Amino acid sequence: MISPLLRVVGLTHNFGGLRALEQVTFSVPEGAVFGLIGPNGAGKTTLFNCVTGVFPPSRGDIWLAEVPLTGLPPHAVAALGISRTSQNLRPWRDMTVLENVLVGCHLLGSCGLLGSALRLPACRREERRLRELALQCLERVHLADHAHDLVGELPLGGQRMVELTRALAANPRLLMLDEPAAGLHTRETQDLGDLIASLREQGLTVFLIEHDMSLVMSVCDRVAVLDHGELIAEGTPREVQADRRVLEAYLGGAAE
Amino acid sequence: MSRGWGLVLFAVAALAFGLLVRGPYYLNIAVFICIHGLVALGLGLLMGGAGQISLGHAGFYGLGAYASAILTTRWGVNPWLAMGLGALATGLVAALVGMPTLRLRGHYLAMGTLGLGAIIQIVFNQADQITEGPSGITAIPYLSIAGLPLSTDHRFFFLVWPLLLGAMLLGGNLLDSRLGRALRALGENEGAAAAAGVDVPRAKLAVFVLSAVFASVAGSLYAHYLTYVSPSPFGFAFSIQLLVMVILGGEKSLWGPLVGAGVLTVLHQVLAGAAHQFPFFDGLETVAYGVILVLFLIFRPQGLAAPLRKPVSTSPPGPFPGAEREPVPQASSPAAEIAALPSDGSEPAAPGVKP
Repeated sequence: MISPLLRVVGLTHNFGGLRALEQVTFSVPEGAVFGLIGPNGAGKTTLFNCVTGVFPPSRGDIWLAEVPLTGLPPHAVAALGISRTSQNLRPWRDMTVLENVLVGCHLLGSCGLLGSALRLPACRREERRLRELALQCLERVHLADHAHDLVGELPLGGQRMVELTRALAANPRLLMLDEPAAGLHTRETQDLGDLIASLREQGLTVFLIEHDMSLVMSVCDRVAVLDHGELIAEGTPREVQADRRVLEAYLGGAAE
Repeated sequence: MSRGWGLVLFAVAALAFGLLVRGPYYLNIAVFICIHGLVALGLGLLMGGAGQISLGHAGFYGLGAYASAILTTRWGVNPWLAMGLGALATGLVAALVGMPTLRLRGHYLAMGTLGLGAIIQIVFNQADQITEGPSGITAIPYLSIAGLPLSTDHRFFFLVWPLLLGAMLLGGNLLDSRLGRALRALGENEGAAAAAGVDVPRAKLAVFVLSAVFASVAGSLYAHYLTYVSPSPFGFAFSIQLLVMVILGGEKSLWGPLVGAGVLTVLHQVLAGAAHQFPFFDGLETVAYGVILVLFLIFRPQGLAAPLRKPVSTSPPGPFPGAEREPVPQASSPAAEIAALPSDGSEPAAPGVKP
């Protein structure tokens, strides 16, 4: 049994009287690609937000390896090694591609207000190091030629890639992707799948929400299914696909 | 770098102005442009950098002025030291106000500073045992350098413009740094910045305190230049003027606030002169600021000194991940995994479950 990297135990979240998540328990094994699927409004993004500290869960616990995440603010969760992208957390459109990736490198530096304003030698060195790192990341994804373009001027696929590169720049232990394929073409989606597979080969654990089933089925080792805030199935893609409750959730109970 | 050349150009222009212009009237205006420019620069870093608004910057400006005035006239503190102590105290006050308000998303800082600015001015007026009340503090000593008192407009101008230049250098460095990028990132999207590991409240607090310190130093310069302070210039009206300067010049650009300070300071002189000749012009100034603010917000929200577009990459418009429409050569290397290639007219994806 591979040790779990992310463990979610009895996670419950209410928005006022609305129950968004109800006693959700699962774990993401280290080194796996773990998919989270479910109909719209099932609570997938809420779950991501609870894990990354955007809002503290009403009840339940979350661990990254042995470190409890529950109640930590987002930047502290990021500092522990969780990077995420999201449909709503868009890249910074008024900044260049390079600057976006440099923000992703934020946690790899430490220069503060005075050091930066005075351009102390230590900060200049750090800046050079971060710039080199960011450029390397961009080269790896063939975006180096566009390093100085404003992100807002890129097409959607390019922006998505910048966001992904930004998330990877921090060297995370766990990469969380919220619908990375939304709005991509077939071909881009295939390339995204290849990328995720290659990240897995490098040992990165990936946790993704995705609606594109062909992508989920091709890249995920395990899949969990949320419906109305409850975990209704978890297993290999094949197991989940054959699960009766999953079919019912998607097809409105008319599955035969 | 273009910013570096801009600063050199500014230095040359200021030097030439200082050497050629002798009339105290113009030098006086130039000194005030620099002093206002310093306050506006700090406010611009806060507004353009962190996307936060302060409605009490005149208060920080006043704190610096009164700290210098009180420390030098009552306790005979050296003016330079008084300037430093004033900046320290103002920074502390800003931190106290910023800590609770900057934890919240939205414009709570604006409300907090609005209140603070009002309180500060009330204290200036009422605590007359220390501040001399509405009549103000007189006989503030001049700053001096190596025994030379900066008692003329001319000498003082040669103090303020290099100081302003230095502050712009600091501000420019900051914007291009790790913290500056974090600030710009959170100004555009706090959630995304936090997800990238930026401690959002702390970053906002840092730039807010810095901007209050800039205002305080400018206030000290004011006090030692005029050698007289009274509560009236440090009220809400001036906070609004500062806001207009930043918006008029452009909050996203380092030069914007200075340009705005220049325009508004000159405009103030013109309108004050007009009001002197035609009494019905009195009070028109406030109306003019309101009109300027509205017009700029509607027609040119980026301000007069909109940031120059970063040079678009000189690389050929080559293959682009996700470029839509443009047909692009197919990548054949295995590395093409990421440099995803754009639509090539392939068939739609195999139908998946699309909830």
